[in-house]
Amino acid sequence: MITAAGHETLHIINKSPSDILLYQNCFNSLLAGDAVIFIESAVYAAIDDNFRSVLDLAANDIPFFALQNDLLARGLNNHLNLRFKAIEDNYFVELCCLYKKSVSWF
Amino acid sequence: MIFSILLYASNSSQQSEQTALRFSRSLLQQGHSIHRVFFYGDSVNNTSGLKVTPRDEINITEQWLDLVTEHQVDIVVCIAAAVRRGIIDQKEAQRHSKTAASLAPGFTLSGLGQLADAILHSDRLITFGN
Repeated sequence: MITAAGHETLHIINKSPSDILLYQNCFNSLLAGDAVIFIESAVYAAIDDNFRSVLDLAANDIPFFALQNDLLARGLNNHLNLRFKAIEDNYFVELCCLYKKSVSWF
Repeated sequence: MIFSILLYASNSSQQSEQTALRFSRSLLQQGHSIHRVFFYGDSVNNTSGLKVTPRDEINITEQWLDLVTEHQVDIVVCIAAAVRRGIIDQKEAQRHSKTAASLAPGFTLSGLGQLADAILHSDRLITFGN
């Protein structure tokens, strides 16, 4: 069970990691208490070690989530990088409630 | 919680409107509510009643309208974004001397004030764009 303390901004990113500038801008803006959810083509960032250099821009204690439906649609559900937690749509809604604000990067 | 949804999605070949719909359905299912869905920028193209969706593709316009029918969700289309793209209701068609209206019945044209109102009256505003 997660509590509401210290959950600041949920960053929602939907572009594939080939859009490196978007990722740099997003990760450079992360503060303590923030989290990132990878949706749509951004779930490509969640596979294995392919994009480690990009992901390393985010501090280690920033939670990473990836939408399960988008992973499944791309056949990536068995290749998830250990840093990511795959979540269902209802948990995406829960995260939006839990975090005080959201920023969408696209 | 009370949510509002802001759509920026630029065209129907992208996924973000479908994500927004999935998200909206999921939050309603969990007992939350939607104060307003606001169509802004290029997303207004999906509120045209003159578009024909190929039969093997998802008709996103119809799905938004289903949400309106099922859950009485208030859907507002930015009037400035719409009029410049040829998405006009009967009133705007008359005002601008156009031969026909194109906004699908069920959607409402209004101004950015409705977005400000949505932000004021919602606990969360979630943006979907591409």
